[in-house]
Amino acid sequence: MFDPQLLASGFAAVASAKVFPFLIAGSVMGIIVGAIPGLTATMAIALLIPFTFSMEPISGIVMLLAIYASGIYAGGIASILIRTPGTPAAAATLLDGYPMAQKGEAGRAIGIATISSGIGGLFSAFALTLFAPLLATFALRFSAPEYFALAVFGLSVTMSLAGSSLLRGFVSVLVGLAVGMIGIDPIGGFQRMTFGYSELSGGFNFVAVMIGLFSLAEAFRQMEQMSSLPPVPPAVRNVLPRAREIIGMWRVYLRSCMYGLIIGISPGVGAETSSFLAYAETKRTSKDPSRFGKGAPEGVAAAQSAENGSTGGDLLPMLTLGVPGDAATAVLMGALTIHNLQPGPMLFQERPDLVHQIFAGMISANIAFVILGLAGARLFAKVVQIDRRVLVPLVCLLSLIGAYAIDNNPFDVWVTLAFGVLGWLMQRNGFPVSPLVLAVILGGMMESNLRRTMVMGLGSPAIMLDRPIALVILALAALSLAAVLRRIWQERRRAVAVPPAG
Amino acid sequence: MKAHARPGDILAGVILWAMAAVIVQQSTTWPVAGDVAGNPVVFPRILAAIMALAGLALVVLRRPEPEGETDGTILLPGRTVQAIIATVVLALALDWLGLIAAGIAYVLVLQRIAGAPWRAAVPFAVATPVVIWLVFVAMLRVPLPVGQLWKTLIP
Repeated sequence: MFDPQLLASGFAAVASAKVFPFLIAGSVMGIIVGAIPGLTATMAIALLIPFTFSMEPISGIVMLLAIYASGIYAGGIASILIRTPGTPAAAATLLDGYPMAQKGEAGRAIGIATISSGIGGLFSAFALTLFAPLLATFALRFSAPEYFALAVFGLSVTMSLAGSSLLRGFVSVLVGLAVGMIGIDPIGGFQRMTFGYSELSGGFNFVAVMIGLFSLAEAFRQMEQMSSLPPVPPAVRNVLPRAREIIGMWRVYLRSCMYGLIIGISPGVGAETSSFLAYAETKRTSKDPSRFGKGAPEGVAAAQSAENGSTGGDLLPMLTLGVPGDAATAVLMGALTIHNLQPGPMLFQERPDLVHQIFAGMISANIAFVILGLAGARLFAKVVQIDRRVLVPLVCLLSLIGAYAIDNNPFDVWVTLAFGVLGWLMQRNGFPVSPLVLAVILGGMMESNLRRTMVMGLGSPAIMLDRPIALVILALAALSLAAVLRRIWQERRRAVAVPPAG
Repeated sequence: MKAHARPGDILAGVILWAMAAVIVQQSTTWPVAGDVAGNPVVFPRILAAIMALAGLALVVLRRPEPEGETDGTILLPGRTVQAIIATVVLALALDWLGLIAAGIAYVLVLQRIAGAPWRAAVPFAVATPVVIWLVFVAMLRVPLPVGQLWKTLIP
């Protein structure tokens, strides 16, 4: 259960000299990376995991949480200033943020974006603090059949990450399942698909895979797009918004935070979806929808608060069930396992102190980026102009050295390079990368728990029929799969309706 | 929205078939268990079968163009290919040359490939590996490759 005393101790730990500098460093790095178009919060987390190896677990985790929260927020800075989203989730901020900047209100737009992200982030961090212990307590009833069902549910929803083509998302999931199979058989203990490489006996190093897919692949993609410096951003003045203006938008915040939280909890969708839905709903319910798209502050507030409102929701299933909700939380999960912390209900039983430190860290991270974002708005505005022709090669080197540093093993450098090339080729051809990463995690969970279920049922899967929670989760997975198949069918009908080119 | 067979999809379909074939071939070498946990080859072979079907669908079905800036070709853009080749060379040279020397050369080559001017490229190329070395080795006590060459020259 949620324990106020442990939370207070958690805040004390976060404020200590061992952790606080990493909170600030993470927030600053997150804002910088988030503000640079093309560099995402997920990339920053993957890139900086190796720096946390020798840290105290809570120091490293708080730094990565700060990067996550501030990276999501800072995507809006580039949207507002140069009409290019710093992160994919910040595309909705662009719709009204950039017109505000064109009207000479760049500072006001950044101020509203910062406060709104802070409100959304704090709302979701408090929701995480309250609901995660409840869900973890409930999840103590879970055994192999329920975890198998959860993995199936996660995979079925993960396919919705596919964007315009569900088949390509499905293919990405299949590749992830195949990659996850490499290593030791979960029950038999024999090596499989290692092709004689002893380095593969434990499977691919997950952090090396993530650095490859999210950092190196993105850097390779950037290499083919860079031509010149980005446009000069407008001057940033009068950043601090008036309290009356913020309080006047309370309905926008309430609605957007709820959207963010609920969408965040749903596997496979996150900040990008919540920001667009919250924006659309705010516009729909506005007394004057025609103002939207022309510089309405409510548009910026809705998008930013929903974006950061999803962060706590994204963390909830990862922390309580060990099922990551999206790519960023999959990377964070990898960071936790590096510090020998296995997310799931047992973490709440065995390390309630650390769990509450994580809650305190998440709340503090959302406060930190608001203060830093407002105080350093003029400085961070200059970040969007950083020459990516100089920066991206540094990302490449840091990716490879980070992979090497995991186990001081040159083999991991090759793994990162291979997955970097794979990720780049996938992106170029419209195959989403995130489902692959989630499938690597969920595939192992699905197979091992299916076979443990078989052991529990003495060789028969019929035991599932005696597990109502597992059946409900499987039914949800079936519903989600049906929705996916329906979309595939509609997509195919649309495609067939279009006459072939030439 | 255009809908036609894309070379990237066809290539991906062929790769999926190849992966499915490898999984099936490999599964023939695994010990067959007849215990209550089930046969370990069942899950991988089901996966292989689904992969084969998905590969077929990729090759046969027509789908809309994906979102984003993909152009539907499998032609590889020159700058990224050069960057990948440079990365392969770095991976080969890292143990021999060490992080500092190999890193400086690698960053400089990549920056020039990306089109960065010498004036900006050189300072960052020199500073970055040194800073990475200081942070990992001096501050975090994480060892990084020194370079066999330097160990030989300076015992």
